Amino acid sequence: MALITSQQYLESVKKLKPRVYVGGKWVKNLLENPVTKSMVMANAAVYDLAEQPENKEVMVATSHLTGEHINRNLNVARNIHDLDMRQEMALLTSQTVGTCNYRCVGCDALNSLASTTWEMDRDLGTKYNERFNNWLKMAQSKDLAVSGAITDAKGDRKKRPSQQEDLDVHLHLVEKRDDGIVVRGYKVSQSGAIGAHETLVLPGGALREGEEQFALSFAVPNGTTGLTYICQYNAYSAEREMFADDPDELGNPVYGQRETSTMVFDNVFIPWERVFLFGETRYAGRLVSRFAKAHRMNCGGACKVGFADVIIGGTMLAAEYTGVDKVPHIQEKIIDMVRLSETSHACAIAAAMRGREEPKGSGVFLPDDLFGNAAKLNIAHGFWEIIKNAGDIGGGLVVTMPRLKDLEDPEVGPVLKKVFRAAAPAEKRLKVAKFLQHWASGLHGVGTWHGAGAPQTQRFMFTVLTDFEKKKKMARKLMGMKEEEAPATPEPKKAAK
Amino acid sequence: MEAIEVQIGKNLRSTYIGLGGTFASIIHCCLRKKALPGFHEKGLITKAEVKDGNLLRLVLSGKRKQDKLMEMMEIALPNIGAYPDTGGSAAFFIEVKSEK
Repeated sequence: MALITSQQYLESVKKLKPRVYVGGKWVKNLLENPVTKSMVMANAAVYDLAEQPENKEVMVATSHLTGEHINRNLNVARNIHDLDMRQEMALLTSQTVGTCNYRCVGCDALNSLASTTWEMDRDLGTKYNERFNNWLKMAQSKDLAVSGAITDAKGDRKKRPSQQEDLDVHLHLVEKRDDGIVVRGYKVSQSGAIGAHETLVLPGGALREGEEQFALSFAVPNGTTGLTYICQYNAYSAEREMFADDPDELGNPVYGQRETSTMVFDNVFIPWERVFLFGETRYAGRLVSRFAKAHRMNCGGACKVGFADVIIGGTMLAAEYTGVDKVPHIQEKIIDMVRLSETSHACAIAAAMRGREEPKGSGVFLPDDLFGNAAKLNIAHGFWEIIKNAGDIGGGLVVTMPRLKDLEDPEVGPVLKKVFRAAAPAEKRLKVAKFLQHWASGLHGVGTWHGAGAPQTQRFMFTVLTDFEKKKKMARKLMGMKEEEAPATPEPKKAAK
Repeated sequence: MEAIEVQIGKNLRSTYIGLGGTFASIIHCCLRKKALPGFHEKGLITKAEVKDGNLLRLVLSGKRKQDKLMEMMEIALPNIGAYPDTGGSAAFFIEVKSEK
């Protein structure tokens, strides 16, 4: 049973009872609360994709551990084709659900773990890779939904983790036992753990000697005792609750905005068989940077491109319904939207094609770092432009529209139908305006900016990954400027005598 | 992997399989945290003890029928990462009773 159906996934969710809090309420059944249900339904749709023959190449891979067919969300990339299909999966899932593939972070986390645990075993003689592979085999055999948790709450950014007044702002060790470890602390902005079977936890960043208690990585079953999920709550959550019986009123009726939670670990026990990093601070940064390398290609260069595709489609419909689709400046703006998104997708494809085995001998392939960072940085800025153009072409109606339901009101409905009729009936115009509102006024702008790391981190990576001296050398050569004529690096100014 | 057999009364049996350490996780939840995985209300576990290192004896509050107890364990085990298995020889056992 290496692939399960969406129905089997939904059956399994009926038995998942994580401790979940949404907007003042404890959720007893994930499928009854409209907010948590949207997240679960998005996961179900991703399971569905793996069942569809036309998507098999993208969604299904062959396990290097068992040789069985598995969901690509649980695959370790072993070659360039795997990397390419991985980014195509991110594109396809976003185009399908218009929200997170909630198994995406878990997938990139497990690739980082496959690479880094192999390296640790090689360097240190540990058994982390064997443990990790046992866990992965189990996850693959059950086709588990696996999410990932990376970002710590961090506290006062001027201070290192061990200097914080409250150590819990970084997930940390509280007890080492013969049979496992006990951990506590918080992980924030976590996507989709509530509807996943397991979560892979990585350190939030690079760590130094003396910070061993924070150098932890493990897999945790999401219903374990001591783990609480405090979900995000915003206007879109309230709206979804309000229209629980009439989801057609919503911008993304079935799959919603994007559901995240703050994970609170209150002395949670993790058996050794699930621990993949324990105190090896030197490898914490590598785990995170390899995760980021994979995630920037997928999240930046493919996932958000899938979002852009549906935004562009909605924007074109809005233009048609208003009767402005043939206007040159409208067409130009739509071309700009395509340019911005496809540039990022090109970077993702390049990142996959230039991917390589890391470390050598591990058999694990990771994308090219520079192109992955370019994909993410480009879309972080481009996405704002894309939703700006969607709002521009969609018009003020995107934010001034009444409820769709109001069209059926016996008193105001007939008036509204006359008011908003253009080149298409009012129903169609309002429906597409609501769809664009979901994107232009929703959570995805900031989400895209910060997801896979805020742009400043990609800018920093550019400075590390770019050979600027080589570029200067090429320019000098073309100008005919001899090396010795190049202006020397200025000496630091001496103190005036 | 660990096979864990749930025993309720003389006849009800079911086997679950999870990664090594799953039984230790259940013990941590039931003894230290005093909660059954997947059930968050306080006071559900009235008694929990470990015998011989491989048997967990649980007494749950209230008067519950055996099939209800089994339903509860069918929720508790997957929430700690153990999934139904076809059977075979288990190395760990959980004996569940209802408060009388």
